[in-house]
Amino acid sequence: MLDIRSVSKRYATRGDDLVVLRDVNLTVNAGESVAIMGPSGCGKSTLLNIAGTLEPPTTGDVTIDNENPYQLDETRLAAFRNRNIGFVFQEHHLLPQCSVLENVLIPTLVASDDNDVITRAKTLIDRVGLSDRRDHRPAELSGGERQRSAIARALICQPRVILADEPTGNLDRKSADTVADLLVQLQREFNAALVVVTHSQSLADRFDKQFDLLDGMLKPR
Amino acid sequence: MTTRPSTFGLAFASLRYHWRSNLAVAAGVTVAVMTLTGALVVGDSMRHSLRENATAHLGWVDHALVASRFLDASPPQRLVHNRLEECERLAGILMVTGGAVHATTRARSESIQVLGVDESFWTNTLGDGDWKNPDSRHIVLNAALADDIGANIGDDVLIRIGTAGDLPTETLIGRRNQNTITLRLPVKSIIANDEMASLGLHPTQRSPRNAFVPIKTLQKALDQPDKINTILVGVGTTPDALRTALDESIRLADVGLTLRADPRHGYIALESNRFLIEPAIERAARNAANDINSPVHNVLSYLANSLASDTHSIPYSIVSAIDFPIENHQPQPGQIILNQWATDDLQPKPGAKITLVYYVTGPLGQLETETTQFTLAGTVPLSGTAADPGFTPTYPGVTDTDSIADWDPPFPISLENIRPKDDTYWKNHRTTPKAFIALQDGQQLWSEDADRFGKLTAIRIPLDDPTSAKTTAAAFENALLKHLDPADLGLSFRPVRQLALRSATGSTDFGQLFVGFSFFLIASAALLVALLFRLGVEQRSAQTGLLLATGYTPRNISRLLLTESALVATIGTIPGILASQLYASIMLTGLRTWWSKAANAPFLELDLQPVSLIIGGGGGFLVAILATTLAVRSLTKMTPRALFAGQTQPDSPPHKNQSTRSRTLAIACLILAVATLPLPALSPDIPAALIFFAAGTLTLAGLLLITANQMRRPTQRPLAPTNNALIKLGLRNATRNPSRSLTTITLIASATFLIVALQAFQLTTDTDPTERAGPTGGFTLYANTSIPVVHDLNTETGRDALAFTIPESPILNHTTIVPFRLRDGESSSCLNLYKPTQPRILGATQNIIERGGFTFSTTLANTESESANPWSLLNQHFDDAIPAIGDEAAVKWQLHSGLGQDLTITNEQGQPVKLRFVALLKGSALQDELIIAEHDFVKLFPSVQGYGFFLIETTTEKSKPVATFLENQLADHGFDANETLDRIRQYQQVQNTYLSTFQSLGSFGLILGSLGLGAVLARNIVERRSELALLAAVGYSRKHLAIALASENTLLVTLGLAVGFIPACIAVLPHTIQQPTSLPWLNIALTLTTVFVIANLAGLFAMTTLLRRPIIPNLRCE
Repeated sequence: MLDIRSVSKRYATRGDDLVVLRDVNLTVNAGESVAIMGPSGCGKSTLLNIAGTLEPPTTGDVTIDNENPYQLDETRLAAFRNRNIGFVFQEHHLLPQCSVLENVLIPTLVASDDNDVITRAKTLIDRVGLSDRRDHRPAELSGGERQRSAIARALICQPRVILADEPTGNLDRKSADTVADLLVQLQREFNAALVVVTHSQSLADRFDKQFDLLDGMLKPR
Repeated sequence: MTTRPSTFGLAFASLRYHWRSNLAVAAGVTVAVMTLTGALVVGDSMRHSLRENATAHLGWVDHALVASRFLDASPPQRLVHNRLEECERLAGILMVTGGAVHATTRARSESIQVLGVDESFWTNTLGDGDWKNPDSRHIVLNAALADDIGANIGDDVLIRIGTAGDLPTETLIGRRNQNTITLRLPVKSIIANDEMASLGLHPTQRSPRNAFVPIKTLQKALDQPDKINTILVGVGTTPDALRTALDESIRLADVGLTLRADPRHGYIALESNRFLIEPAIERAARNAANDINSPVHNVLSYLANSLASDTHSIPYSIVSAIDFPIENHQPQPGQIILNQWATDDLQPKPGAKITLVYYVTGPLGQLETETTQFTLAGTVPLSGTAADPGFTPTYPGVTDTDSIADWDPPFPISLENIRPKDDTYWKNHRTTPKAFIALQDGQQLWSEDADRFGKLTAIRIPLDDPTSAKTTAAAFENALLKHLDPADLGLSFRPVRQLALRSATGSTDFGQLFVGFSFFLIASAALLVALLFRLGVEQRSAQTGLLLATGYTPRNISRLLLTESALVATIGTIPGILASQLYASIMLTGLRTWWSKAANAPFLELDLQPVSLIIGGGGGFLVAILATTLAVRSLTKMTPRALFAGQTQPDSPPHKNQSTRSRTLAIACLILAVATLPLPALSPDIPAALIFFAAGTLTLAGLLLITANQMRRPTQRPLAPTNNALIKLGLRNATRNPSRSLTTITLIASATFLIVALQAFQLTTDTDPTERAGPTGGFTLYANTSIPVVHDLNTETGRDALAFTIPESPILNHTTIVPFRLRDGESSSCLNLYKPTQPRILGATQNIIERGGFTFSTTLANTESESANPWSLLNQHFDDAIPAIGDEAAVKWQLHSGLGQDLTITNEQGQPVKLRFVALLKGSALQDELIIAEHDFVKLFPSVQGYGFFLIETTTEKSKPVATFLENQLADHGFDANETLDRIRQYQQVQNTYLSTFQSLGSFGLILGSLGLGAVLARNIVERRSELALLAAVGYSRKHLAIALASENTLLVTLGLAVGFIPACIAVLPHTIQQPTSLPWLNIALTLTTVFVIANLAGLFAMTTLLRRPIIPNLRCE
């Protein structure tokens, strides 16, 4: 499913290049969930962005379902991302001018026609427990509710890979638990590959595998 | 040592840190200050230029006496002798109006001034002429006149002037024919370098066209040796001092009076070279006689065409009307006393009826023959007091001839009726009357216009002792001079420089006008300042939240932000003041070039007044502070939590009640707007401009409220993945920050409203010029003459008298020429930038008053007939004012008066007279003049002879041939005919040009609106960069993002255009219904398209600049 091979990432700085990732390898199969942990600034989010086709690696390859998205042009890459990847960020990034339902539907607006999306969006909203908040705007939701909306949005296009960057980082414990439960449940239901970057051990414990990212290198825990 | 930062210190640090956003705000302040100060500088420059231009046309002249008679003031210094030592300069000149024609090319210029001057007139150059030699025959032209006719040095120029002498042309003895002469003179020089070259005593934008000839040459041509009619006085005296000096210095001869002592017949006679003694002189003479305790004997002598009994008749006899006994006979009313010669000739029986046949003058100088019978009451011998040719004053061309056959009277005589004995009588007794009647009879028969011209030919002081003639004459003269007020004879010095300076304040305050024109630009700049400042402050909302959280009160934060905004405003104000000079220079260049039809003032130059710079700078600064205060106030109402979260808008949607209230208010505004539309039709007194602004503003406010409501209202139809889903997303984004979007919409809507509405007010002249109830009054032509016409142009007799070569020409069939008396003065039309102090006045004859015509906007009519023909209101009588008609635009905007209000002018005697506006013409061709009835006119300006302005009613097809025919036939009078529609077009061009100016400045405002739109879009993108990053993360390409952002931008532009366009259409609805002219839809469509394109381009620029940057990094919350 998601195959990261010998990926490294370096950034040019005023002095020497800053090496963030060194020869990282990771394979996540469909229905499998992985937690990546590590201290702040170790490159977790960078790895997630590379996996999510948001940022190309300096060297190495990323394939999803045996397709290397970085060989696509920008427009096709966007479409690839839309079809195959669902993101959940620490910040919910919901559009304040749109309702919960509309926010969930946002990715579908640029997807190919699919008559079932609204039904699917409603189902997803039901699944994340926001049926009675469907027409509410983000400003009228709690932090946990906003993040649950973001999870529904990540799943609306039935992605093969779900990437979550500190999804419970801004939440209280109870909300964090709810969000974590949902993530795991839905990943399994959708049989997607899930990669979660987190500082939270309790969240990491819920996933099939755990890795540490230290000095740019990924090591199983 | 570290000190705690002060508010100022914090604000200054913030100013430096956020220098980019503050620079944008400062630029907005610069625009506001520049516009406001620039507008005031335009006003100052206009006043300064008008003042400079007006005084430049006065040269060294400070006061001027322009007489309606020739003065025997030689040297002129004598007239102001007592004050001479105080005067810097003084010159007596002859100044007459006329026309100039190039002898070769026939190029002509009408309404020129011909000045007979000597070396005392010139300042520097002596006019490059030989002014001392009385026989020199040359002419000097000023550059403006030379340009007009294309004359060069050495060319011959024909100068045509009127020769109206001392005798009033409209009386029987006035010479109405051949009252023009033409001088052919070589051009000796063309001058532009002497300040006196463009002398003009009435301030005007147009440079006077002057021709200078040696005064002796002009005196000779006018047959007025040693006479002048104008005295120019330089600085160093006052009108009061000059009046006193004139009172003390004037002599009887100066005003054409003679005191003739006749000891043999026992009287001293006061006579005038005008033949008739003017009423003011008569009054003074009576008072003088009273002073010396002498009775007064009055004489009115007249020429009878015939004096007849039943059987015999005598041709051409002088008959004197007297109020004193002659040879023991005093005629009583209805009686006549013949002298012995006449009795012998007529052989009447005692008590017989004697028939007098005589001429009287009718309207337009028409001679009519009248007959009256008297009863013979006696005969006086042709000796003693009855044998006195002195009953008749000197009349050149008659009394100085040796034979009746040599008479050259201004009326027809039949020489074949004259018998040898009549000629013998003339040789022996000259003007000795053959008959006497009672004074009151004579005045009744022959003094129709007594108040104007007088009703006596002599006033006699009887002498008890013939030896006392000299002393009595001296005593009478002294007493007469004491009572004679030169002002009553039209002799008064006008403080021309002071009047010019007063006029130069302008009929319109261009400062205010341009502040008005720039209002939208200033408002746009203020909105932009508010918007940019708010955007800058919103960017720091978390910082504001932090300050609130750490215990700052909203007041503290306001103070901090306002200190920063004051610093920013100061930074923006200084370059704004400097840039105002550039702005004003551009506006003045515009007025000299693109908008020259409105100003017609090529002499405009920049003038900087510190007060205006301070007011403009201060005003702009305050506008900026006010705008930022409002921005700060709304931000400090937010909670710290919301501000920390980066929110700049309240979380919750408006309360339902608030929404309902807002909707109700919007509907009320729209209903009120529609309700105002029929008001102009119901009440003409309601100004159209008020309706325009009320309907427009209410609709604009209503639509903006609806837009605001819609933006804040939760949407009912959710976004769904359809074909235009991205566009819908963009539209939804516009509601994200309603106040920001509304500000943008307001900016564009206001500009659109003004630009579209003003297009509709562009005036056009598609009216039928022959329509009597239209703006031309049914007159297709109007004409001015340099020399007044005293004959009826509608009759063959009149045309014959005017020496038409084809008086019976069929060209004039079905053509009516309506004459008006004209007291020339300053135009009260919008073409004149000067404030009229002596407006042009027309005297309307009873014919035009009865004819009616023209459209009236408002009148004081009380009766149906007055409403049907408001011209009849000119015949109303007020105790304290004279009824007048003026064009509404001229009365309102130039004279700053209105219906029923009074305007004070001065009459010929220099006395103030009130004109009361009884009716106002609407959009007429008569904007240059004010109209009063002829009977009032002659009272105010008795010396104005004939008619100088004409309206000509003919068909459209014939207007050009008629104009050409009359111009050719009346070339000597400088008859200049033009189409009335052209005159209206000239007026309309002024309004249209003002509208264009307004529109141009509105367009600048629109550019600011577009900049605001760009700024809003840029800020939206920056603010939503994480949102955009999310969209990119979920699979939106840059194209998708661009479509969504462009849709949002286009929505704001389109809403702005629509919200501006609809009120504009509603506001101009009454105007278009009242004046059904086709709206310039193409222009409107072009304007709207331009706005649409510019605003979208501004958005596109902001969008492409920002989307080019990497988006994904914005997802990182750190």
